[in-house]
This record gives sequence, structure tokens and C-alpha cells, in this order.
Amino acid sequence: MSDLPRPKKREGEVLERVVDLARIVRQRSLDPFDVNVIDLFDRIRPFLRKAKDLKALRMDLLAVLGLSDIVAMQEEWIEHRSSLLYIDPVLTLVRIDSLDPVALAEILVHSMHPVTEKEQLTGPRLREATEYWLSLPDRDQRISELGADYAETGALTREDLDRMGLMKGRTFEEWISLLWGELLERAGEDGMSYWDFIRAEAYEDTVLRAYVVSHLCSLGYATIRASPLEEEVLLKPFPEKLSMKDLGTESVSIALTREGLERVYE
Amino acid sequence: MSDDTVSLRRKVKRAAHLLLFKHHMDPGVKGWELRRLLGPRYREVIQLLDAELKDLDLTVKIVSEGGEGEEAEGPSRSRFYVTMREAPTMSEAKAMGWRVDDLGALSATLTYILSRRGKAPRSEVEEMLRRKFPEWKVDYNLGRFVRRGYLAEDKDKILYLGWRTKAEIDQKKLLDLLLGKEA
Repeated sequence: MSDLPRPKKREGEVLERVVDLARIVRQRSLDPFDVNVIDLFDRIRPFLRKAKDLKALRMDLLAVLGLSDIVAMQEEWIEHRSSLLYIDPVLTLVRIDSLDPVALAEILVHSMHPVTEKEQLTGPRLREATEYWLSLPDRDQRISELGADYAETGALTREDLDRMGLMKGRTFEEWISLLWGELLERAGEDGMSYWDFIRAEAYEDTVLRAYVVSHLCSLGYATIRASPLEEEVLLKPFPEKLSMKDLGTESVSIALTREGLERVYE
Repeated sequence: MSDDTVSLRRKVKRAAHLLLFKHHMDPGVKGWELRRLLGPRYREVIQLLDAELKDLDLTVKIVSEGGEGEEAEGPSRSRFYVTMREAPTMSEAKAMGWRVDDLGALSATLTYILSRRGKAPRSEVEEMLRRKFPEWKVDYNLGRFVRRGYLAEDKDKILYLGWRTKAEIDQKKLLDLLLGKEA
């Protein structure tokens, strides 16, 4: 008598395992040929004759459906392997890992044919914007991801800046005056390329010139026009400093990285 | 100009309005809708529109639920879109509102899913992306790709290629470029 429930339990377990196996193969895109379908059908075949209640019949049916699904996946697998779109998953992962985000972006853009659609500000778009802001981690987390540490705030003296080689022995006002004069001389009224103007031999000097130019624009000595389509940024000096009320409020962000500058100056 | 020609011209204009302006949540128009609104000769109308859009570097693309083309389900169940005929430049893509690193994340996601027969568990995709992109952006980006239709996700958190990928991305070219088969 004690042996009777055991086979029932084993049958149930086998059937459950078959159902789970089919689900896992389907969900994880595993190779369906790793499953020996004929062997599993042989193992569950006797259970059907023994099944006496609806629950057992249902489990048996689910197992048969699972195995049939694996056979269907084997067909899909062969179709995919023989299609033009087949690519080894491991090789793909290696290639993804070896390419930087810019190279990956270029690959996508070259394969892209965007759908035309009239965009408008809608409820879903506003919700998307809200979700973005809510998904941003707090500043502490972002700073720790950048590998930066908090430090006590303090003031730097001119000597400190000289020692760090940041202001090259000149005051901020001297730099403003120097670069404004140079810009007036080189650009004239038509303006000139921003990139040509800030360019210097050393990367650090280029960053310093870009920093001073940003203040030239903010303080009313020059203006900047960016055209994202042509990737042009035009810098134009004013013959006289404009007052704050005459200045526009448009903000232009220009990223300066060594790699970015190398591409610009190529 | 014959009555037939006048009628056809009117239908080409109507087709342009239908395809270029969004009428539903998602862009594009189903074949059966075009048949109802343009008549049984709607395929001829679409061909004429396609020829006219060529000069503007646009084309009418037909996508079935299963993928590009209409053989699988017949034209009436396929969806018709107007897309760019050529691929945009990187500058144009940026002007469309894309950030380069987001394009990179989408590129990695799509190629990964394509290599896994068109579907992959979200957890695996997240793990792959975390090796390249800031963690806080991975979940946000995947959510955005799903909302925009580049990906679809089922209740078991399996990611599939979405309708927009089928409409916009030349999947064969994407994989060839990834493997360096095409310069």
C-alpha cells in the first residue's frame, strides 16, 4: 500500500518537469535540439493509460503540448539557422563588447530608415519625460559612478591656478580682453568657426580658450550660432560689449573631449 | 485629363495624407484601411505615391506582423509606412533627438536580440548593457525602446523586436555591419 502513492508522485513530477523544460527552452531561446523529444515521449506515454482523473489528464496534456512546442521550436531553429539573419550569439556578444557606443550607434544609423510621423507634445510624451526625471538617481549616486569623491569646498588663489598651470599667468580679465581682441582681428564682422578659434597646440590650452570664449559670449563680447545639421558652430564678436538686457537667453552646450576634438580637427 | 486620371491623382493625395500624418497612437496605416478609403486599386495608388516620394528620399514601406514584406499575411493585414529611403547621417539622427549613447544602446540591444532568434530575457539584455552603459540608464532606455516600438515585452519579461524595428531597421545590414561584412 505504501508503494502506491510513490509512482503517482513520480509521474506528476516527470510531467511537471517536461512542462517546465518546454517553458524554459521557449523563454530563454535555448537550443531545442538539446532536448531528446523522442525519449521524453517514450517516458510519458505509459502515464496516459494510468491517468484516472481530470488533473492527471490535464498534466499529461500539458506535457504533450510542451513537447510539441519543442518540435515546433526545432523547426523554427532550422529555419533561422538557414536564414540570412543567422548569426552566432557568442560572436555577436564578443563584437558588441569590443565596440564602443559611438561605433555601435554608427552601425545602427547606417541601417536605419526612420518612419515619418508628425510629432506633437502629448500626454504620453509628458509622462515619458516625467518618468525620465524620476528614474534619474540622486547626485550622490551619479558622482560615485563617475568615480569622483566629495571634497571640502574652498577658494583657489591666483597662485594656486598658476601652480596648476590653468590660467597661464594671466588674470581672468586679461584673458577676456586678449581673446576678444584676437577674435575681432581674426573673425571680422562675419565671424569664424568656433573650432578654428579655440584650437591650440595643447589640449589644455584648447580647453582654456573654450572656457574664456564661453564667458565672452555670456558677458556680451561675442555670440555663438550652432547648426546641428551642418555640425557648424560660428563665433561672431561684437565690436562693443552688449549690455545684459540686449543679450539673448539661448544656451548652447558644446562638449570638449580629447576624442571629440581629434575628430573635429581631422 | 480623363476622369480616371483626376480620380487617381486625388487618391494619391489622400494616400499621402493618410500615411504622412498620424491617425492612431502609432504611425502607419493597415492595408484594409487603405482599401476601404482608396478603393480596391489602392496598391496602384500606393505605387504612384511611392514614385512621387522618391524625389524626396522617402518611400512607402510595407511591413507584415511577421516582418518586412507582405507575403506572410497578405497586403490587407500588412501595415504601410512612409520611411526615409536612404539611411540618415549621424548629424541628422542627432537632430532627430537621438543621443549617440542611446543609439549605441539600441544598436547593442537589437543585435543581441537578433542573434537570439528575435527574443531574449530582459534580465540578460540588462546584464549585457550594464557592461557598456551607466546602470541607471539601462532600465530607462529599455523602457523607452519598448514605448517607442523598437522592442516589445511580454508578461514573462521576454523582449522581442517591436513594430518600429521591423519598419525602420534593415536587420540584415545591421548584422552585416556589426560583423564587419559590410564597410
